Parts: sequence; C-alpha cells; structure tokens
Amino acid sequence: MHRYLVIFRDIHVEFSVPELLSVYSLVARRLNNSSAKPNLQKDSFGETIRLVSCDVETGSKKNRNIFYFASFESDHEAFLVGSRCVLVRAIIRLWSYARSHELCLKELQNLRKESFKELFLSEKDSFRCRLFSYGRRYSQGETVDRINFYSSILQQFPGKINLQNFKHEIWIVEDSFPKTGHTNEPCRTDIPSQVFVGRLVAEGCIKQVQKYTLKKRNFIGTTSMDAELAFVMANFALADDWKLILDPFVGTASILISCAAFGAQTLGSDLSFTVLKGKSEGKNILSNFRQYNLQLPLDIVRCDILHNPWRHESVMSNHMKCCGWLDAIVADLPYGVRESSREFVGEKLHSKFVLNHIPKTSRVGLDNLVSSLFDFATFSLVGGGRLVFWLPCTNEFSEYDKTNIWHPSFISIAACRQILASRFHRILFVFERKQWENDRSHDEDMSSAFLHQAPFYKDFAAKLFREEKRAEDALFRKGQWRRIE
Amino acid sequence: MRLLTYNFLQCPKTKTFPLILEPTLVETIETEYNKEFILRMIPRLDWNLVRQVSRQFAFGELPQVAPKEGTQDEETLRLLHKMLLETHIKEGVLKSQDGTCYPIKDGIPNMLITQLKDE
Repeated sequence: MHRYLVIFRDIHVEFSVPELLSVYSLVARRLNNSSAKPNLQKDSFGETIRLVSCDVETGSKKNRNIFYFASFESDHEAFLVGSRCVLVRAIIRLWSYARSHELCLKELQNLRKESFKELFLSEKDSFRCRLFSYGRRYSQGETVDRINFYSSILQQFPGKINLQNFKHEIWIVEDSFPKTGHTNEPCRTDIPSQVFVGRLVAEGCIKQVQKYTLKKRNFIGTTSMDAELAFVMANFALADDWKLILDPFVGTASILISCAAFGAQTLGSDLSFTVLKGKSEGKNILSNFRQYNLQLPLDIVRCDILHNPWRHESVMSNHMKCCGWLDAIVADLPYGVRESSREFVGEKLHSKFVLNHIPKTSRVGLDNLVSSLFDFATFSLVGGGRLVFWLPCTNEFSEYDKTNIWHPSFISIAACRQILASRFHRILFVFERKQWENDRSHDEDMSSAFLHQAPFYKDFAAKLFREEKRAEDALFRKGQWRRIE
Repeated sequence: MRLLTYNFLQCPKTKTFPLILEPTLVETIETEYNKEFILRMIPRLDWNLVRQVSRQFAFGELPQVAPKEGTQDEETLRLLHKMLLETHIKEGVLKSQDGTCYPIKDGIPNMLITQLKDE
C-alpha cells in the first residue's frame, strides 16, 4: 500500500468522494476476477481515504477542501481509478507533505532514493515539473521561482526535461485557499497553508467528458442531464463493458449516452411518445448515439413504469428462475417542475384506432413513481446491481431525510445533494441490490412501506412554487392509482 | 425490437409471460459479435422461450439446456448473437394470452394497455 494524494475538482463537492469509492469498487472487482462476489462492507479502501485537513490542525475550518489522502495497492490501480472519475483533478504518488515549501524540501532531501526510483530508471525518460496552486494564481516568473526552489532535488534525476513530450510529471501542489471566518491569525496570502510534492499518476476523465457537452448535442430536451453529472451517474451505476443498463425515464437518453460511452449495453423506456419519436428523422435518440459513434441502445420501449411490462421473477417457470437480468437502473424522475409526473390512464377504444392512438395520461404522485421504481428494481436487478436516481427537495432537507428512503433489499451507497437554486435542490440516491440468496424480503409486497412515510419529496412542486393547486393530495391516492382492471 | 428484449417483456395487464410475437416486418442489421455479452446474458434468459423463438424464426434447433460459462460451442453463440441481437422486429404485434394487443411500430413496442370496445 502506498500513500497517494487525491485532488478533486472544485465542483459538485458532495459527489466527489462517493464517486471515487464507486469507481474503486468497480476497478477492484475487475482486478481480482477470482472473487466473483466481492463484499462491499469488507472494503478497506473506504476507511483509508480521509481529508487532508484532519492531519494538520489548522484550527480554522475551511469552507472547501479538495485534498484527500488515499492508499492504493499500486500505481496501476490508482491510474485505473483516477482516470475514470469525472470529479478527480489528479492523483499523485505522494513524496512529501508539509506546512511550507522549506519544510517540504527538507523532507524530500531526507528521503531515500527508492522513493523516486521511477525517475532514476533511465536517462531516456523525460520529465517535467509543474506547480498547481489552489486558491492563488501565479505569474510565469513566480511559478519558475517556486519550481527552482526544488532544483536541488530535480537536478538529481538523469532524464531530460521536456515540457511537451514527457513521461513523468512532478507536481508541486500548493494549497493557498484564503482562510475564511473569524480568526486571530493575521492574513498572510504569500505563504501557502499546505504543500505537497509527488509524481502524477492519473488525471481525471473530464477532458473526455467535455466531448459530450450538451451544447453540441444533436437532440436535447428541457430536462437533458448535464454531461458531467451523467458521467458521474454512470460511474455510480458501475457502467462497464458487457453490462446491461436501463433508464425507465429515458427522455433524450442523456444518461444512457454516458453509460454507453463506458461500454455498457443500454435499454430505454419512456411514457411520452414525442421524445421516443424525436423531432425529425435526424434528430432523435438514436442520432445522439450515432453522433458520438456509440453502440446503439438495444431497444427503446414505450411503457409506463406503474404498469410494468418488464419480466417479473414470479412469472417465470420454477426451474428457470434467473435472479434478475439488469446490471443497473439509472433514472431522472419527472418530479413536476419542468416535466410533470404522469401515468397512463386506461381507456376503452375501438380496435381500428389502436395502432395510431395516443393514450391519455394523468398526473400521478411522485411517491408512486418512487415506490414502483423500487418494486421494479427489486425484481430485475442482479445481486450487486445498482439503482441510481434523482429526487428533488427544498432547502428544508436534512441529513435525517436521507435515511427516510430505504428498502430491505437494498444497501444505501450514497446520497449526494446538488444545489440548483436557493430553495430547489436535488439529491442523487445510489442503492445496491443485495445478493438474492441473502434476501428473503422480495417475497412480500414492500411497495406500501414507502407511501406512509410522508417523504420529503412529496408535494415538492407545491412547496417550491408555493401553489396549493400543485399539491398531490388532489390526485388519486394509493389504492386508486392501479385502476386499470 | 430485438429478440433479446422480447425475452424480458411480460404483459403489464395480466402479468403473464411470455407474450406471443406476431411479426409482420423483420429486418436483419449486422452488429459486432460480442461473445462476452452473449455469455453474460444467457443465464438471464428464459431458455424455453429462446428455443421457441429459434424455431419460430427458422434458426434451427437449439440444445436442450442453455450453454454454461466457459463453453466452447462457438456455433451456438454465433447463432444466438444473430438471433437475439441482429434480428429486429420493425412492425408487428405482441399478444397476451387474454388477447390484449401491444403493437410494435418503427421497432418501438408500445406496452401501454389498450382495452377494446367493439360492440
């Protein structure tokens, strides 16, 4: 085990650590193929990762922190993990770490040569050194001064310095974020609060993700998921080669595109025919996949999740029991702000109209959608499969509310909040399906467990807009919504 | 609709499986052969239905039991790939045992329940 420094990007701060842990579990599963069913609880990596400021007693609390220490088995593992995370800026193999440049240099001089053995290997290996400062911007001259400060170390390396084509990159990382709040310490902007020096192992995948930006996408709608967050969701869903992932509210397929970009096979379904059909011949869901040369989705199905058309385990003959068929479900529920939550209403038709008929829909409570999503996920996910979905909340949301959503067949992995407006937040929930053999609860109907808890997302649109008429109480309540005989 | 998806669909009204497939327009679109994906999917399929589909679409007779992991039976896997992933039902009808129809249009199955009143 070696010590690494993980530098996160200064965006979606709540998502960064859970994303890294998710990707780690995916990589760990891939590296040790021998253990077919890894147990997430035994995962020791999660315990090793911790905030840097816990090490230094800075006294004053910073409002942001992007530096974390973590232990990885090898550089290769750190590379695999880091290069798949959207929210990771870089992972460096840590050489030294101190409160100031002077102390850091002293620590580096005391290190034995084995610590830098990669750089001593060959004269042909070129390298470069780079200053990364957080919270400050330096001019060219100041940057060179700071790098030259370490020249006694850098000159030992036999390789040539090459700024363009280099094999190794040495990072001098400076945390100079201004201290906030009331402190007695005099404000010194010229000295950093922490300094790290190390060799770059991995950079995050943000450069690859930028290719998928919504600005250049062919077919988008009002609720298309931002490309970065879609990739974060794909990481939470453990999207990988040969996996099958379904989005029951596919819309413009923005989440499925990120899953397909990681090699997964995708399925989409939606109630609205207008999005499935697309705007015109060259502007539909499939054209989005073609735009990025991705594997086309296996199928698009028109259905209502409240009247689930996907195979339920109980309908299969006994010797054919499969224990699920999906690897992950990703969903962005329509929660009534831009897209209203709707269900299909049964109506009687004359048979000659059936083929071209656009059926009637009516509004439905969001809690109905959530409980049927859980129902569906319980029966279709394989053991270890992930369920990833968003729910809206107002600013009254508390930590307690995160525990409000649970299911006996699922382990809660993460709940991260994104702040959209002062009163409008949304939370990404990540659940993992327990192994089927340890799970007896799927014999009972658990859907009622959610409906009586008066969850935080209930009547969300009415709370947000302060409009009583949007309240879901006016809708058909539980027991009435399954009214198609 | 690919025949792989057909294996995952049930009737949303009566909760019965399998549905009866009556295709009117079938198309074959070649895709890259992906052995690992097929192997991963086999244990998740209802093998009886796969064999039935293979007979219905004249792909020939499949073995009684589904191939196990690590199988050397490349021929069957290729056949399954051709059948499940390359055969697309463009137009047709999925029928439930009680007679409810789910039309397939432009390759998109419509799984909403329509009740008929033909009196």
